[in-house]
Amino acid sequence: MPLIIWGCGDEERDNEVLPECSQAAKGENCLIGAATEKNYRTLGAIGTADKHKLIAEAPVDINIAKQINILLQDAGFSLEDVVMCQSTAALGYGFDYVYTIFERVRIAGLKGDKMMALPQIANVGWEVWKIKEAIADEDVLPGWGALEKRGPNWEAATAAGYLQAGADILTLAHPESIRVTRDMINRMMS
Amino acid sequence: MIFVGERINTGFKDIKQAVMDKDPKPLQDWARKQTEAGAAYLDVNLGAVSSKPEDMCWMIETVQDAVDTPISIDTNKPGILKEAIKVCKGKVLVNSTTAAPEKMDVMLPIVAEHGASFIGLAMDASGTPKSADQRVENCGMIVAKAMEMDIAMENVFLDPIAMPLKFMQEQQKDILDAVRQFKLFSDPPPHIICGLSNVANGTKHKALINRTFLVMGIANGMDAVICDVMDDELVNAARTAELVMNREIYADSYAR
Repeated sequence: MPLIIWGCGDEERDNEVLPECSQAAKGENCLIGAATEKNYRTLGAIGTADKHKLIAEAPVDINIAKQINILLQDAGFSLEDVVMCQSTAALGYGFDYVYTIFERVRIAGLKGDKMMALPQIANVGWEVWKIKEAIADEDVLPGWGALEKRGPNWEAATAAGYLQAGADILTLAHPESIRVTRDMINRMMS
Repeated sequence: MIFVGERINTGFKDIKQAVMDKDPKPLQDWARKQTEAGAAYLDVNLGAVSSKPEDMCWMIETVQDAVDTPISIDTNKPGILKEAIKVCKGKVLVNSTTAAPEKMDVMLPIVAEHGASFIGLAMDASGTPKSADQRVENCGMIVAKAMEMDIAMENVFLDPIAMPLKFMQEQQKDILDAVRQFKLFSDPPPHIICGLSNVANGTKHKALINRTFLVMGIANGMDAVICDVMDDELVNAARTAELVMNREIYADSYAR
């Protein structure tokens, strides 16, 4: 089963921890996140040395996203081994900004920009289960509907949006949202 | 920006000698260098060295032994084109036909049959055009003919015929004007290309003149060029112009 190994986003910590993880999983072809403008050399080096693919992350910024891809390529890392991430926002928490950027990247890639014709990942599970809509029950949010349905629905709705915008990989936590999203994909592809 | 590398041309001494001696090395070296520099097509020009199709075929096959880059077959002779296009492996650019009906009637069927792209020159049987209007008229005929033959606009490259700045300074604005008008022919519009090196013919500041003209061409809608793709400053200027025209996404390290 392929693994995604995602750091905590703190540059210092990730520079210590990710190389260790990469080495421990050497040769397993994992997807390691995330390369930024600051640490792309380190990530590029471990990706090459231990034969992993990289998530290249930009903060909802299409120019920085392109820049990181150029930097990785110039540092000798093949763009065939890169997945793009524009950070992720749960529905209601900046979703439209990220959605728009996903679309712009996808359209640029389809128009012929080789630097933007890469798969994209949306880290839905990580973002959705932080928000109150997914974790606070009706005693805290009266009238918002039962939590056991609301949480997975929120995750599935967020995933559905990113799917439409062009996401190729979605991280999801709840089995019910996974089931619904799979069903949606099957219907889109039929 | 679609760059067509111009270097494999018997107008250059090393290529001419290589074709006469059937020495593949110079052609393959330039094929690799231009490909690495970002050429989308490699122009292959047999020139006046020979009128035999097999010689053009040899040039093309030699290049294809070294790189996968698509070929631009530089000939206006249907006899050579017919044979040369058969040995091309990938997408082909046919360079070129004029707007003269008798020329188009022979060249375009070959283009259509092979699903190739082609360059249409803004001139007819009466020779080089003298005004923007003449250029627009000629290219209008080319677009109409292409549509008649079901050749998609993405396979049509219109060339306004770049003239030497030194000898035809007054025409330069007309050429750019024609470029702007070509874009209005259809939606989506055809590509617009020119043989850039002709602009600086005979001048002292060749690179500067060619580079400036290309940038101005891009501002008016040019999206393809036959040029010295090894000239980093030229390629960087072209890509910068494309950023200004919002045709490509900016990134800090975009330039070579």
